Amino acid sequence: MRKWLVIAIPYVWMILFFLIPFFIVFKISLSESEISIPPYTPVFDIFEGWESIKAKIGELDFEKYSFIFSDELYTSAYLSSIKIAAVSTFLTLLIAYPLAYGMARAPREWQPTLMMFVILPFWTSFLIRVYAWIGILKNEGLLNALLLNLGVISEPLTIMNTTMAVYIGIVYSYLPFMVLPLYASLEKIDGRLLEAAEDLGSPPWKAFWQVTFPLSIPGIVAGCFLVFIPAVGEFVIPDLLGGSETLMIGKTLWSEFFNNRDWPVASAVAVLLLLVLIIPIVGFQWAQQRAREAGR
Amino acid sequence: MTVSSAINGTAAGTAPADRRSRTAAPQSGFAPWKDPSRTPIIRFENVTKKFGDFVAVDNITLDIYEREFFALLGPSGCGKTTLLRMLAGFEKPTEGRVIVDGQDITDLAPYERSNINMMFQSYALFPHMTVERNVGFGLRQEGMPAEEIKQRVDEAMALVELGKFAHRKPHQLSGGQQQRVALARAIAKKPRIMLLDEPLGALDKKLRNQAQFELMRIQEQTGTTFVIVTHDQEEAMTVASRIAVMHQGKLEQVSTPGEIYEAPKSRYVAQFIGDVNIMEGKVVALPPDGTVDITPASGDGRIFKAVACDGLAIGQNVWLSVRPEKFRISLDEPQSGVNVVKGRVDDVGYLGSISHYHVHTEAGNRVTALRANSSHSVERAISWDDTVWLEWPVDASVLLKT
Repeated sequence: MRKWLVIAIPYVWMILFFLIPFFIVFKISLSESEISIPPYTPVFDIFEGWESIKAKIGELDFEKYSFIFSDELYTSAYLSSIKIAAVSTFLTLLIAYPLAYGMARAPREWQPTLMMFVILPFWTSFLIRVYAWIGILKNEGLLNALLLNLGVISEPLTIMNTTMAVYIGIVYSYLPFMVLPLYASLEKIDGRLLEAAEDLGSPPWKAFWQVTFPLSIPGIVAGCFLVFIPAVGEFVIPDLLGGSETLMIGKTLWSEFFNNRDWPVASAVAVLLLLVLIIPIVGFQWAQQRAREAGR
Repeated sequence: MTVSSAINGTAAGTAPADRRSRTAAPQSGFAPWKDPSRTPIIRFENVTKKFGDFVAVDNITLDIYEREFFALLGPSGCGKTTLLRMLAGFEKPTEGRVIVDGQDITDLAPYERSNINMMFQSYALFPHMTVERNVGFGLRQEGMPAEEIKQRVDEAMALVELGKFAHRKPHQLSGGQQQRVALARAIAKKPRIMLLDEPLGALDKKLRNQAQFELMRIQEQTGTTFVIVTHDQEEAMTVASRIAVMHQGKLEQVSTPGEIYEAPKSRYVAQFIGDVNIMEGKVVALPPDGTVDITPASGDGRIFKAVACDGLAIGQNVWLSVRPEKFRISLDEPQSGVNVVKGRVDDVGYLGSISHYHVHTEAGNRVTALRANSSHSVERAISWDDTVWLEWPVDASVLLKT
């Protein structure tokens, strides 16, 4: 009995806070927008009886979805989100790998401290950290002031409100999610494997590509998914740092909800975003499973 | 594989008891260390290695000759692994030189030492590669053409009888199979010197015995010089042509297994190799017949007599080492008054072909005697609490000065 309770709790949680809200959003996405409270119709009311609900289900349709597919704005927002997420994931990997490698090769007694430095940013609110980047990146910000004073540039660089700023924001914010799984897989690699490679005639840099890198692939895969999945739906960073040119689905979703007050279209965008993300999420689960099996 | 198929050629069918005499001299008269005209393939020259304040290897000079199966033997922390790792290039000596084939390799990186390969403790197989790719790893580093690699890999895998596992990953193999992959991977490079760091430590006893024979077979077939690190004295005795017993970073003794067993140079070596009884005493006389008379440190006034060695002085403290099997144990008091110890049996360990007797001597020592349970013994069996006499011949004990 107690065993069932332990198993049931996460499921109840999932049903209450994911599945039910998802069906509400899905139902709204099938509704018509209307200027009322709530701003869509039909509204199910169980007190009106079963016949009424049956009649109202008949009013639901997939019209909003065909609208989204017909309007180029949405498809390009999806594609642009995926592109921005993919590029930032790659950039994060490029920066995180040397960091994680350095951590894993550092003296044992140093490693917990280094690990803490990676986690340290989490102690400050995510929103505040993104705001801080505005202070760094804006035309009269810290970065431009520094570069101007050093004489590297004569005109301030326009980074703020560009896609570049969004890349910087995403890479910065999600770096720990890449570093930690990479570190975990690099740290596990037996140092004697590298000695064996060297003994068999492989210089250290070749041994890295032949032994260390392939053995760190599970960490790379995990890190990439952990960055890519949330980055696709990212809203705060493009909203605060990006400009009008930066098209991301999270931002589109937000303006659909709060500017247009078109809840059904916004819900349809959200449902499609979930579908877009399910593919990499399933891929991630599969990779994790495989890594577990490979590790016996 | 069976033991009998592991022993090839000349040794086929020899009883286990012959092992030692065979391996002590792989070819009859194989003793290059006795030939001053031979140059060693490996030479450690005044090599010292310190880790901080800890001296792991203390001023060692050691020559190892081509085709030897050389064992570095000692307890953990004695410096044997450090010595091996300096040969592989993973550690750099603090002082001294390592010379291989007349070339000073002290400063060469491991991957530049192409004629030395190592088989690692716990094997260090690449987990993401198949057996075949593991074995071929070293050859791929040389940029060898693919067909040639294939041929050499097949050859190496045939040598360790591993052919049918070519496409498995290491974690799909048993411990014994992994050990053979590790061996094949190192041997595929056809090194002139093969280093083995506790190669059989992870195997159970039965498998270890088989693997020892396999190592010996492969060493003989390939003509490679093997240097093995082990803490298992039985293993060293079985496989090695010479053994270096190490203690606290120093070489205690470098000799053939037979010499180490029969003529240890110190109490440390005597106690490390096999069971031994050590008895302390003082030199009282040096008769002209080349023997030495010793009064035991504690005893009943009987003297011990042993073959003298150089540099003995009256009054010097010495130790006699007597192997358990050298004792003659009897219930009757022997006629001779020399080399006799009286005691009471504390314990009897019956092991089938032999029995162990733990005897508490009158002097208060515990000694172990061993007697073969040869058939038709008319004597009454020796049992607990019997009063017994232990006697040994003058030439059966080894006189130790340290």
